[in-house]
Amino acid sequence: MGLLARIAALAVFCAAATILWSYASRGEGTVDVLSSSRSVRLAQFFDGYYRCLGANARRLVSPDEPVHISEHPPGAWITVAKAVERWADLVDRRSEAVVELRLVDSTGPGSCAGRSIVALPGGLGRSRSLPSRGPASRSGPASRSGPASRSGPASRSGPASRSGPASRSGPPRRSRLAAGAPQLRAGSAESRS
Amino acid sequence: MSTLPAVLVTMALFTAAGLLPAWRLVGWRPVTLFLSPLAGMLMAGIAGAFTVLVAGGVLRWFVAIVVSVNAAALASWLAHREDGEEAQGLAGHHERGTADHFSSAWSLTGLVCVLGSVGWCLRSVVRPRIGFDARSIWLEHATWIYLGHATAHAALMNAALPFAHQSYPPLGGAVVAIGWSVSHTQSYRVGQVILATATAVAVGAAGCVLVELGTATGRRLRVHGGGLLPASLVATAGVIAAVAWCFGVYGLAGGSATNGYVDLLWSASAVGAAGFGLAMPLGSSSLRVAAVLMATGGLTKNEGAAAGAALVVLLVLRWWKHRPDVGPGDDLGALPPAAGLPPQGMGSSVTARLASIVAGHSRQVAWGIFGLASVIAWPLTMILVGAQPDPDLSGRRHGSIASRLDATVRSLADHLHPAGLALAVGVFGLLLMGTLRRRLGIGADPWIWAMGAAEVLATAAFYVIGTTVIDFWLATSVDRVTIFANSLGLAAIGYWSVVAAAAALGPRSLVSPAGAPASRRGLPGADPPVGPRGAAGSDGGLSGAPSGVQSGGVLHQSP
Repeated sequence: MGLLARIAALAVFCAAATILWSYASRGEGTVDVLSSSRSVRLAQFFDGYYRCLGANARRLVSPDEPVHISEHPPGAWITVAKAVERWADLVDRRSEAVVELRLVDSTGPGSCAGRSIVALPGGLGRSRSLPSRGPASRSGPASRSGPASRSGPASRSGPASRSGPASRSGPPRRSRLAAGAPQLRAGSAESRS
Repeated sequence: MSTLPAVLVTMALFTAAGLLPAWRLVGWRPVTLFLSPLAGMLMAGIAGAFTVLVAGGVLRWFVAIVVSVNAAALASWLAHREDGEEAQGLAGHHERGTADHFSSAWSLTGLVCVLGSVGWCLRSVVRPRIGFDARSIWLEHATWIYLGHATAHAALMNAALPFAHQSYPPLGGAVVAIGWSVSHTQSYRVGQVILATATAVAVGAAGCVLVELGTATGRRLRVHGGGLLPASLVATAGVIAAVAWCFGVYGLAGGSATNGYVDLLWSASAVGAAGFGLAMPLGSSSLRVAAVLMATGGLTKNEGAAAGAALVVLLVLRWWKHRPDVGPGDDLGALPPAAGLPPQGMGSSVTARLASIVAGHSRQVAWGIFGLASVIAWPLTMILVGAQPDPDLSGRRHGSIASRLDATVRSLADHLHPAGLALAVGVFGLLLMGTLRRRLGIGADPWIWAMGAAEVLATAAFYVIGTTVIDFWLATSVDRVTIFANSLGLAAIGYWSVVAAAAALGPRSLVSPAGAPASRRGLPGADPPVGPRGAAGSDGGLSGAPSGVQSGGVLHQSP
């Protein structure tokens, strides 16, 4: 291999090394930011937010009650799902639920960073809306006592253990994301928080 | 038990479960350290699959699988011990290279550097941020699997849980569920850290490709008369490239590397599988590493299954290209006929040739079948059992195919810059150093390109034929689904950095075309034989085996 070829190889090496160094530096910077105290505090806030919502919901519904999550307001459904899915007995039709959970804006003592969960009557049971007593006073966003720690996997109340099609008769349900939002009865949505 | 002890106990369990099988599969080489916990996690994933589909609890399945696999590994060791092959593992030759201080020293150095880099990157796990998908998919699956078959199976069929993508592969959830079981700490935080640690292990395994490639290339330089300094510099290039790659992929993955997501876990596994299967010289030990990594990726996420299927096809093609009766026009040269194979010219039909090769490579075929089955079994089973379909691929499609294709192409193009850079470096490298790369025994770069292209095309096809609103879908996922292609691109650049270092520093006898044999057949850098016996003792000399040196070649014996 001649001198020129070696120089060309060196050029390729330099180009490869530069690219790798560039992405390595970027990776180091990313890891640095992610492990910063500010990032950790923000993560703790989000973690606490879902713990708070979960604790909020646990005061409204027990794990053995079929629950439907409202799709109003749009986008809030997944927030509630993330807070309760680990222990709640989710169903995709309001008519099959004892209660329906909904995320609402709230600045009262029961709120979690400006939101709280309220319970509305479902098709099977409760005829009145249930108030959110609000966990913020005892387990606010920074609280470590969320639903996972109290009623985690050991609670044997998995979301599908009782509510799956295997345990219910009838045709397969529509995908929840495709299902239309349930119509709320006037006056049923309220929260005392 | 607090988070750290819980995670340490879990990873120690996986490492202990996979140590003997990993050693029997690949022998002692840098990647063995990472392959052990990955093998344990793979067994956990299989246990999770049985839990979901059959009956019982995941811990019982895991214990049964671990005991069975380790018993088989032990029996294999005892059988070979009686044959006088003790302490060699199935890879056989690796321990024969203990005299090669150069390889040992640089392998150890590279291993320490890779360990340090992934450990350093793992520090972002101090952030207790559990990602959206982690909470609604992976840790949700872990909860179901932890609760046992009744819950897991019912969840699979529950139409109220589409956000959880019930039909996704079980490895991530099973790993966390077993961690919860053994540590009695069923918290999401423990699950997040377990998945982050598993991801770091996979990144380390993929990083070892560059370490082993650099070490083997440096040793090759020495064999061809190069001095210690140039050889060490080439090995250093491999080690530095490995460290840079590890840091780079953590940058590509961002927060998803440590927030409970599994995208980097499957991506790193697949990149490692591609590296060992397509870049390293053909050899049974590397193929087995690739199979384990491929299975790990395939049981982690559906994209990993798609990548694994593509890798199996490419491995077969590469294997076919290196068949013993390759023609003189083949650019990789011929291989010495392996034991059990017919001599050249026999078997006129393709079928007969294929049959003869399959018959002569039963072990490789078995591993190929294992790899392929492991990556396609789960998706197929989900269809057969009637699991809830993926919500992204079912229901009414939003937008036309054309509009979805346009949005997908634009979005992917915006996120594939590292892969594009790799392609550019690869083209120049191929033009300038393609011959040397072949002579070094390193798999041709187009194999890597094909692997990346297959995955990108599969991903694009899912976006186009999917049903979810395309802009929302792309905005929330394209940065993660491109981790694999970009990581593979960075790895390909790393491979070229090793080749370029060898070209710039290597002795004339190695790097100059004039120094090579006139015939292309039997070039010292051609891939080693992959026959049954030769395969068992051949891995391209990557671990310092001096056997090839004694016979005039390094990566295989000269004809």
